[in-house]
Amino acid sequence: MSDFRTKAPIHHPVTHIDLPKVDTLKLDNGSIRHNLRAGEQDLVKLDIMFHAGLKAASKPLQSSMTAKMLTEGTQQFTAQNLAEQLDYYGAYLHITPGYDYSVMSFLTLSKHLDSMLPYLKSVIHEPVFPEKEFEILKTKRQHKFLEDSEKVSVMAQRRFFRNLMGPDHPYAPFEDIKVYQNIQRDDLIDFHQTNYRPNDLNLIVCGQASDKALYQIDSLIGDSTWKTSDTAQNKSQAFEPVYGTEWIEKKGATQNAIALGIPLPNKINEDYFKLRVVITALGGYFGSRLNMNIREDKGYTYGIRASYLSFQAGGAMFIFSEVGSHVCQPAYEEIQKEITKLKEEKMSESELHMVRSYMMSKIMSEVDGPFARANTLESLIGFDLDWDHYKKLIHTVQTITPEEIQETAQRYFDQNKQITIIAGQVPNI
Amino acid sequence: MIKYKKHTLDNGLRVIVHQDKSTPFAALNVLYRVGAKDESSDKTGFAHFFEHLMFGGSINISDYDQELQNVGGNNNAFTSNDITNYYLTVPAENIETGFWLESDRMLSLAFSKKSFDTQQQVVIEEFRQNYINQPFGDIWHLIRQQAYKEHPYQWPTIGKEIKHIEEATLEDVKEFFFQHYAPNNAVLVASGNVDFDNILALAEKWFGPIPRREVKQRNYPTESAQKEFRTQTVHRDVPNDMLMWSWHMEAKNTDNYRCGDFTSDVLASGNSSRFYQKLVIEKQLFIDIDAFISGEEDPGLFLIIGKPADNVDLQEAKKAVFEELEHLKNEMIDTKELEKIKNKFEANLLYSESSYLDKAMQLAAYELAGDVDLINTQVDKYRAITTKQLQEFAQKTFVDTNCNEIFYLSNAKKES
Repeated sequence: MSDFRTKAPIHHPVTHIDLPKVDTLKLDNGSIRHNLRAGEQDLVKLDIMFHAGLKAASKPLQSSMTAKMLTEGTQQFTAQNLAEQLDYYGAYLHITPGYDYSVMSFLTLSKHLDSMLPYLKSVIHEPVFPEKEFEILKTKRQHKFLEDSEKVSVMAQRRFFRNLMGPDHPYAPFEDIKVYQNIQRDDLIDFHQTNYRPNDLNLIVCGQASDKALYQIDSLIGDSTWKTSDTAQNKSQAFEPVYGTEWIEKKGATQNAIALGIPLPNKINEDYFKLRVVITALGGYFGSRLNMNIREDKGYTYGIRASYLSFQAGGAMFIFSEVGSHVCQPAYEEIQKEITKLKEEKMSESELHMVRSYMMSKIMSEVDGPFARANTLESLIGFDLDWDHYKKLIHTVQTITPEEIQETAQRYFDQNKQITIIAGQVPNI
Repeated sequence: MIKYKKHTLDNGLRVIVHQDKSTPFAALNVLYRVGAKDESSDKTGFAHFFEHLMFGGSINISDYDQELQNVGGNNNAFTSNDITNYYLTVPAENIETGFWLESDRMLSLAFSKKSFDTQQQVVIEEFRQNYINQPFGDIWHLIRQQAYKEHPYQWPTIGKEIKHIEEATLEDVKEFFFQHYAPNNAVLVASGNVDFDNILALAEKWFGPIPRREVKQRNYPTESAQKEFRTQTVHRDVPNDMLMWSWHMEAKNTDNYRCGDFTSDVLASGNSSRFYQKLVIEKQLFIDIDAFISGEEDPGLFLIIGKPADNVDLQEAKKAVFEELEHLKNEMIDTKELEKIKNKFEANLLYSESSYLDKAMQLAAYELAGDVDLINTQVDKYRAITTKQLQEFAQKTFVDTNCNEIFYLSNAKKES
């Protein structure tokens, strides 16, 4: 009876992925609206990509605190008013501060869009940044900062990003709570006035927006009386990495956090596609080399991952894991071995097959459903790319050879140019 | 309205199918009726440890993950105090691979010593990462231990202590498997781009031949009614203080449970909630404060967890929280406030409905809870909750002799 169980059922490889259709329209003030009609639910989601990320800020906290304070009261509505209305209609309005953009996301049932748009408009145009809410937010953030500072994961990552980007880079996180003393309400007002403007503004609409709804959205975002700002800062500053290994001590830690990476070009580079395959094989999925070795064979960790970070100012391969403090050294050595192995040995066809299958399915999931599509489109627009980028990625995944993988690893994984941070128990040497 | 079809195989396996042709994927969800509450108090954490071993090779297939990844699949699992749930997603045309893998490990595991040894270490690292090496990592151990004196909800799924994981043996694993993993103790749901007839044929082919097993009857004590106010103070190396309260409430799928759910929303859902407006903004006694229900199958807990602001008298902070609870007992909430909670509840339901995987998990959970149709009828049951019922819930629940309190205090603050 069990005979038929020993053989895997026939495998149908994914050979084709439908990329979503997008209707793109230039609005009166030059903003661009992308409409992704998707899903069966009667909901509408708007993502407005303001050039108001860390890149545009003149000091730490300016971008993230402005984003949070936008919904804390406007000329027409108090913070409580706004919260009441959004909650009453089951709508969500969040501004997510990022490296290059801050994205204002607005989610509502289609039937309530009409009644909710005036609130969105007021938040964009006339936030008042009330002093009391500003102080409350600052206190809250400092609490969170102190709590996070106790975590080896956060300690290692903060230092890693400082060393990857250079400590003075606008993307670089800070490690000193005193930074909170240097942020004033006026910094937020300035930042809003300069950067929440229709400068090269992109808007993604997804879900079920009727023609009438689209017209209303276009009038709000494309308003020709809403002027661009000529003082907005939109240049990327190159990374100035600090290579080498640093330890951060946390006495009594039962696990050490290892953050390790190598600077790479970002996703605009032609080698991005190959690098993505290489990093996936190294640590991008459960069956990856790092996870199979360090978790599934050695049991040193609950999880380890390698990812490909891509920002307008640069990119990096980034490996992160929390490992038992007593096995930190062997875990670190195994990570090095796996990077070296990619450079020294050709990948087997069977492993490449698995990486391909995993990646094709992953790409397919990135364009499945309205929310996933909107996120993916956003990640493309952020680099002035379109679906052609995905077509190239699909092509590379399907055609890359073991030789190309090895050659790519050799070219980019220079282990003399690694940035490594280990936070936790420092061994006695 | 979520459409589904249901069929039970001869060996007792319940099969549910939900079709969603808008996705190119299919999901397969296998839910077993076994969780941390089936463990004995000196071998805790075992159900969760066992979940890891389900990926360590089955009788005919040496590497579950590799086979699944080869066909573009993804998978994961979780264990709660009540259940263990395994799920995978795969490009729809490869759904049969999912059946092959899931049925083989229901048939029998390989019980590999290597996998046992490694996963023991992995689970110990998981314990360290999430419960030891984290500020406030032990709060669930404290809360459960204080609130439950008899029921096995007194320990979290990770287990009471690392020692229990270290002491587990391969013999325990074999015994546990044959006591709990059986077609007649599971629910299988397929969702996404699938057809009912095809799924039924696959279920018969792969799961049909697995024999029914004698499942160990659930046998654990129910919690007796609490009779006294309990309070506890602990000191830890954390930067801030934390205050926690819990009250016993009724089981899932009762009106009492739904009232608890809504009451937690009234107090703490969104920036318009009472706690946020009163305690965070107006009185500035808390930095953050949340209310929620533990959401378990047997009678569970209504919880409030708050981080007090700096330099606030903790007794004063506590008083303000209890004043809010008194309001709920003494005055019916505004109908508009209840309407807001209901609107948000329905909107959230609609937002989450776009995921075929979510639906598979929910269908399985409702079926195991006794009635798969609850997935569609629960909205009306929530809709029917009245302000009077919410008041009665508060009056019944928020009494001192039903309350457990923990002051989790920062060593650093004590010294300064």
